[in-house]
Amino acid sequence: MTFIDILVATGETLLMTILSTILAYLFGLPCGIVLNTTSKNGVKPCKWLNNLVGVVVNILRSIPCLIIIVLCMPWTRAWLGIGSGAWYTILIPMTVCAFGFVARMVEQSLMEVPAGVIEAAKALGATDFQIIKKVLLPEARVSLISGVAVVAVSILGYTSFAYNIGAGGLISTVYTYFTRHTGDYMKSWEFWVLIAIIVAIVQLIQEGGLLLAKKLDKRKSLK
Amino acid sequence: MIEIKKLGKTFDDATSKTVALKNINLTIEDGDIYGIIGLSGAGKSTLVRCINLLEKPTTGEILIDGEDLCKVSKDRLREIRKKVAMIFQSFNLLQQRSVLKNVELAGEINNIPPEERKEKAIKLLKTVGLGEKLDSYPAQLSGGQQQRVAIARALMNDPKVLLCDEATSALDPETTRSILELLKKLNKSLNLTIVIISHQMSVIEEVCNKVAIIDKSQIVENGNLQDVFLKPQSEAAKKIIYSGRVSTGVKGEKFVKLMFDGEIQQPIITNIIQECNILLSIYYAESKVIAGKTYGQIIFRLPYYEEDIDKLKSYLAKNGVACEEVDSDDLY
Repeated sequence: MTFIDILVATGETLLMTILSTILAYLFGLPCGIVLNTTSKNGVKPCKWLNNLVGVVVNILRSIPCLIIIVLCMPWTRAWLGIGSGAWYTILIPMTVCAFGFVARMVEQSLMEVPAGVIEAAKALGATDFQIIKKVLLPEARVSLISGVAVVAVSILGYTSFAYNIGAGGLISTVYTYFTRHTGDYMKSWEFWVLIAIIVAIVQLIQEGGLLLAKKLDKRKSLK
Repeated sequence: MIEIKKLGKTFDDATSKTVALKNINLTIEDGDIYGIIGLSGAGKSTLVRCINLLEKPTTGEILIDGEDLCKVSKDRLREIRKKVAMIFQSFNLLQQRSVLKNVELAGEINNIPPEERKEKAIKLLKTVGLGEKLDSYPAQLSGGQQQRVAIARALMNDPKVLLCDEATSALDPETTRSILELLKKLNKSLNLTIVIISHQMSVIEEVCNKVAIIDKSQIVENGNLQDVFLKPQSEAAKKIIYSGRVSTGVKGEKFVKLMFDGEIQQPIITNIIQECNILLSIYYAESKVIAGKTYGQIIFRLPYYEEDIDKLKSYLAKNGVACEEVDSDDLY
């Protein structure tokens, strides 16, 4: 294993994780907002829509990721030309896998906004859209940002499935490279370097997310 | 003018029905500071929340300047809400926005251009005495300061009515007084109609000119403050007004209650003792200022001898002091 191999694998993992997270939020955030606002005590209760989105999210979350990857292959092939074998072929199944999780995370974060604050905005004559844009999302931002960190770390874990479709990345590299050398891989430095990089990325995402959230939080006294 | 007609509100749960309001009729004139007082669970909060339709009435009408809120479109309701502002017990400020931005929120909702709303927000914050705190965040402010921000926010769209839902209940007496002073000032300077919901007698006494007493989902008494507070008719009203104040600790005795207003200049008790030559033991006395006038009441035991009672009664009648005989059991 060369230094370049490690670099490429790291790049693949970062791209997979970051882009999948962005895509998952692209679909998951609106779903989470719908789940929160249409619930019984939400800004605009709407039972059928809430049930519909809830059921879709639940079904997607209950299908194992590996199955979703297989199910998504035809679409990936249709849209990207190939169904497997490159880092970006994992993006679509990963998005499908993660956006339900994202939706629930967002729903949970928005629930933390006190009902009284939303009521105050209503009493000021705010439209539902204004309440979402000016009150719900900004007031929940601390929780939303720490949520992004949790989601990104989970997605990083999901990238282990990249091995199954030959999409590369750090985790599949560890697996493909070291399953061939049974026995003393624990003694090879490359193994530990790869593990260290994965740990470092997780730390970076998690701590960075928390730091950012803390910095943006105005609830604590700044005196 | 706010007219509430035959208002009823029932909370429907899957398992139970709770009647929160029954047949409420109330008229609040422009410029009034109208107090609505009741014990916890009486329905007063639901009532005030019906006035801007945060709570949708089950039956009846809410007319604001003749327009029935239950019948208007959603867009129209939002327009009306801009003129019927509200402040809350828990202030309900946005924690992630600075003081200035909190006040500006009301302007953003009303699509006031940025420059104009900033200028206005600063002006309002100065009015409520927070000109120095523009860039602070709610978490850095005391309760009283937070409520002032909420008041400034409420005034942003030039409302005609301000609804106060237990707005001072979370504040200490000193801060409560200063907030009430501010409300009084705004009532005068802006001709702002104010509706105050409270369970505290002192709050209502301090600022209101009219009061309604709500008990078990119904209004039991309403009218001018001094009429209701000095001569409560209903049991519920008496309970609220005298609660925890008069306690004689004796049963089955007769008492006399003297009621006087600021007009009386003479020392009544001294005169009774000297002129009627009877001895009195006072069980309770208080005085309070309502609408700038002093009112007071003194409760003492009825003299034992018939002739003393006669002397006392004729003296009081001669001097025009209002009095009534009460049973110790009727005192609360």
